[in-house]
Amino acid sequence: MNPKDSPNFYRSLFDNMLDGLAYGKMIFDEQGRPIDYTYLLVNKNFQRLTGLNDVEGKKVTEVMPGIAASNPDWLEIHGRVATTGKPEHFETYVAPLAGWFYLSIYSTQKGFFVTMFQNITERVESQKELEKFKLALDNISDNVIITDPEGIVVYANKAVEHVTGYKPEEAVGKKSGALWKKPMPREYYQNLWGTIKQKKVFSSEIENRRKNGELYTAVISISPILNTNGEVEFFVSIERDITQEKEVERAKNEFLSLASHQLRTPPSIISWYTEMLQSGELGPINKKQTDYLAEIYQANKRMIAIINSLLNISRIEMGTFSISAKEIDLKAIVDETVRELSSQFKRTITLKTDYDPAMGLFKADPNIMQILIDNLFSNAFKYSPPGNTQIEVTTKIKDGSLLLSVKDNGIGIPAKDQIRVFEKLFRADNAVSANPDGTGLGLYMAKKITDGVGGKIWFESGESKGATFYVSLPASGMKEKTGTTTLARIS
Amino acid sequence: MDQLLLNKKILIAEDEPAMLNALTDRFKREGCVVIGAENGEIALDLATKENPDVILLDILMPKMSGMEVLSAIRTGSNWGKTVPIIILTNLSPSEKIMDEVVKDEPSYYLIKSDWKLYEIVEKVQSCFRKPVL
Repeated sequence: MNPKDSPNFYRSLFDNMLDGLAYGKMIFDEQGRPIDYTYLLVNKNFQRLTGLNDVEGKKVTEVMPGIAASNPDWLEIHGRVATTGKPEHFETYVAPLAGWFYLSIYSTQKGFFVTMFQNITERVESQKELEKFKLALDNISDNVIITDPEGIVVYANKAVEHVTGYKPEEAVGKKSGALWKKPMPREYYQNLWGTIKQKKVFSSEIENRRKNGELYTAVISISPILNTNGEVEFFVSIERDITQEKEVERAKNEFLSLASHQLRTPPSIISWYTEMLQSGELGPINKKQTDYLAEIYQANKRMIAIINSLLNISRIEMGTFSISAKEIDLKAIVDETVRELSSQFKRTITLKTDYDPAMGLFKADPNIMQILIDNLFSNAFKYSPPGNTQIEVTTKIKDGSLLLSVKDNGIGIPAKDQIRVFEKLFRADNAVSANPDGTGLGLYMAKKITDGVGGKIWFESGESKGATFYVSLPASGMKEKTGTTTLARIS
Repeated sequence: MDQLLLNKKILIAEDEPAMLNALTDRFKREGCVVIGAENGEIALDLATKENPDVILLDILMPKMSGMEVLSAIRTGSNWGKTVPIIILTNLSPSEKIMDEVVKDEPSYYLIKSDWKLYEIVEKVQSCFRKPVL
């Protein structure tokens, strides 16, 4: 028999269709207004999609109390279809069921209707979430571009126009690189694509071109978005225009360089002329002249050291100093530092050393290392008794770190001041008494430098009990870092 | 006195008069023939004309910077390719400067305020101890 003739076939369709289905009879008041309806027949999915059981023979106002109040046109629309025979469909939130539904209503017999419906709550809620994010994305100030796996733009937010001059509509459908005309060198883009095709995030500074041809600097981050199979479905690129910041940084650097150059000129002159006088080549000098010239020379050297410290601090704070790692001999730097300081302070000191036999050459920037070691030792000299300066220096390689310690028998750091010694310009009272000319910048700089090369600095001390300073650096050494300037030697 | 610098011709490019005077004084004492230049243009001109045995070059100078002079000398002639040039400046090396330094190969880059006169003399002497290739 032809299935179309079998009632069982239609029954099975009715029960198994994905949509919910209800067959109802309208109830009108004396004025002919629709006020209710009775469910005559519902399919299996009716219950699954609405959560309502046993509705056949019952009225809708019984089954969904409050429907007339929450959905004022619910009964009106059903009534209209049942009366006119014209089908209607709509989406609405049905409060008694706490969900969104799509209804399609038709009528083949006056006063009766058939509704086919879907529960679209999930779809609507996802949509709303999406709207929220889309609104957020559209309005943030960073450029956001989403492309397909081949780099064709599928979405560009409003910021794209502010930054690049291209309207989102102009960007969609084009290959992302084609728009900014790729001002970077070829290796840059090879590296970019190489990284994201390996499903890794690419972060870097980049120069791009605006629609008007102008170049701008941005910091860009491109993330691959993977589907459930782990394949790339989209690339999301977020870009921030940092041209302004770069310009400020460049101006600051230039000012700093110029200022330090100007500041260094007079002391250089003083230094050389003093040297020529001291050498006796301009005529013999007596003892007092020698001593006083030495005072001038020392004071001048201190001034140069301060200038170099300030310059370093500015560079450290701007994060612009470079690290150029070479194999250096720490022992040699310590020896040289002790020699120079002994000469500067006109002192013979007792130096005890205990170097880890496993320590060979250490990979570090020689300037930076010299600044650190000079800082620790000059403090040891400054605050120790001149007639009996005892300094112990040890190095130890342990747990992947190089630990350097410098211990002195000096005035120590009082407990109440210990928390502040790494602060810029801070000097403990006992330090000021012992050495009125200190800058308060040394330990601040030492800490900033140590932090900046992946190390740590700390100390143990008590008032009048000396101090031991510890510097821990990764045993693998300092990492190379490009920067716009190098740090200056202090000595 | 070490005889190494006796009668050597040294060009000193320095725009600060007191510094030029101090350097001139010192190198005359070593027996050098000292030629002074107070700006970059004069420095390049005199370098080309006189072909000195060694050059002390300041960076920040009027008319032409020391880096431009360095580059011009190095690319100007065969003499220019190998003449020892010591950059003597108070400018800390920036990345830009270091790039140019790597390209043009001065013998040394010295920060004036860090070096005594006698140490600079030693550096110049060491240029003449190197084997000439």
